[in-house]
Amino acid sequence: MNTVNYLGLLRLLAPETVLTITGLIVLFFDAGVMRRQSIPRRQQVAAFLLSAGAMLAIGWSRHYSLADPNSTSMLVIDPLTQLMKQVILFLTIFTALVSLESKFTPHVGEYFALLALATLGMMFLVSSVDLLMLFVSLELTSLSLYILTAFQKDKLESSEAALKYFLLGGVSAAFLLFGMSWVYGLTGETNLIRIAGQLRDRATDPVLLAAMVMMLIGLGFKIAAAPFHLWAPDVYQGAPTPSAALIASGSKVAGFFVLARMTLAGLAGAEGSGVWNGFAPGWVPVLAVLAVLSMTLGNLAAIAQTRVKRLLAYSAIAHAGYMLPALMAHNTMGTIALLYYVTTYALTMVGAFGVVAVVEQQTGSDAYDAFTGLSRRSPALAVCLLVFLLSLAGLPPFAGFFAKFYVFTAAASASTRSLGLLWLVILALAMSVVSLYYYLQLLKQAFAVDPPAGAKIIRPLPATLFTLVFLALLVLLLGALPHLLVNKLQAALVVSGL
Amino acid sequence: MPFKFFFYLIALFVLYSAYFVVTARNLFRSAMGLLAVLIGIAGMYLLLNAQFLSAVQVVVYIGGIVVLMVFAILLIADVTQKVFEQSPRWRQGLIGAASLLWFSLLAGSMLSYRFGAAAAAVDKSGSIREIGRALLSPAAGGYALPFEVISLLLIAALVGAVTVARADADNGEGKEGKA
Repeated sequence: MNTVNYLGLLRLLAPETVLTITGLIVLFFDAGVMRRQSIPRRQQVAAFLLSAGAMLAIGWSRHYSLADPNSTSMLVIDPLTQLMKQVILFLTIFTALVSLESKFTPHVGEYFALLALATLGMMFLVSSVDLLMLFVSLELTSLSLYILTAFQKDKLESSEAALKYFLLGGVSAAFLLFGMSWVYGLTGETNLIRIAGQLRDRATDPVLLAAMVMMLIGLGFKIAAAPFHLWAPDVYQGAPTPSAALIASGSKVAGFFVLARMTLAGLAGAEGSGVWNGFAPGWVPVLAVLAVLSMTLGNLAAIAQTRVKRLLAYSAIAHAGYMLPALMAHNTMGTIALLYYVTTYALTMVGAFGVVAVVEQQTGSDAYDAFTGLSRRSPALAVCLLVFLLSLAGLPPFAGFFAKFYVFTAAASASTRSLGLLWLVILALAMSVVSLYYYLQLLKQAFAVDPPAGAKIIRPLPATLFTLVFLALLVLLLGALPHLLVNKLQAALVVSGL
Repeated sequence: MPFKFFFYLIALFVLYSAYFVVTARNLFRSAMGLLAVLIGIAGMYLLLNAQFLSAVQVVVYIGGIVVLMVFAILLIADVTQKVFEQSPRWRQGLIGAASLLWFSLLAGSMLSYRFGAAAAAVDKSGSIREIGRALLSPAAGGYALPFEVISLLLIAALVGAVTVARADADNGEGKEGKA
């Protein structure tokens, strides 16, 4: 034990350290040097610094040494966690670049520093295998996101959304913590692996089930699964669009990863069963309830929306519902499907919010009407929107198609029992068809309807446009050659053994 | 026997105060109720032989947080006089029923479990020296890492509080900063 010191800890966490320093540099540089410059200039410098720092962190995260499992029981560092951290860092860079377009705050340095801190929380979240560490990093992420939601101070909606997010988030954190305290009381351990070892032979203990349900409530809030979704529409709507992009992408990746870690590693042996006619108590049936509610409610509510950010919020709830069956499949294929889904979904979501950010900045609204005739007013943006929405709808050849395909095959073939999770897959397929309707509604508005007389041409900044086109190409590439990501995930998963 | 007696006494006190916090229709009275809850919890810690935790509870929660809340309440004019409207009857009933259901589920599962003797817990002295070592040790069993993450959390809270609370220049509150 004497070999571990602070320096070793810093070396183990080099990417996080780099990002911490980056966040502080952004904050001080903006407050000190850039004070007198114009806001767009400050945004450019801050976004550049943050992106450079994140790139450095990505580079560093490729060179790691597998942590000696005894050295610290709080974190794991393995190929899988590093890969997910890289994904999250890339999402942050994209968010930072998309932020350039929006002018919602004079507090540029604070905004980008909080982006860095939120990302940091997500990175710790991905690595943590200890209840304590998990909770603390979850709070770091959540708190940064609450503040990012409140950043548009001239808009009442933004403060309202932040307050709702904060209060509901606080309640869900209380549930999570209460559940964790029960688990600690049962096992006397905070390390997930050791907890799993302790719980192996008492899977259906009522106390454990109650604790598990409470923890799943807390994490279900984080991934915006129904019925814990009430915050999502308001927050996506009220938050500044780039903040909403991070909430919908990076936080989703981290949330699903930690949910997977909690269920697959921490509650291994307590899964129960969610097959039709064969329910057994455990976390799988709990997730089945969440999945059914999310898919149905998200998709049906999305039809009625008239504002694009709200539409994306409800579709996010529905997508959380599609992803849960991959977790319930409870095998390697399911985990790969989940991580592929959440990664491609996050990339798509950043892109979609990027398009909304541009349109909103230049027309002042995110209502469907603002998108009327987008193909005439900005063909490039319209094509990007087309790619993102069709990918969300799950049409080939976009990434969303393979994501759904992997998840559904993993779920359908998960159980050796007669029909297994097929009933969920059938529901998911039916709901995907419903989702096609509202995505196409928006696309019809953008492509088939003539722009109103006197509508302005929409001109995104070159950097934003470049980011969006890059994201669209990425979605197309991952759809055409899904094995690029799947092989990586598979190799990482084999080593890490989640 | 005295342990049990004091335990139930304090528990009753805490429960009653907590009930008072949520039912008081005046914010200031609620804060005072919260004070009582926290004092009760501190007593509970003392009863469980966690002296350090009990002291921290008094210093941080009672001495710091409640005082801060009282300041905030007093700074917002009129709030001490204001009486909040109550939600409609049916809603109160619904919330009560849901809470009762949840409570009985938790209590039921709790009662059905056969807890081992408390001796199973590792006996640590809980002295300040030991807590300090555990808090800052980077080795296994130490909590240096969560400790550091909490410091990042505090930075985020600080930056956020300043940003959210600060009056912007364009709100007519004067030019920002003096630098």
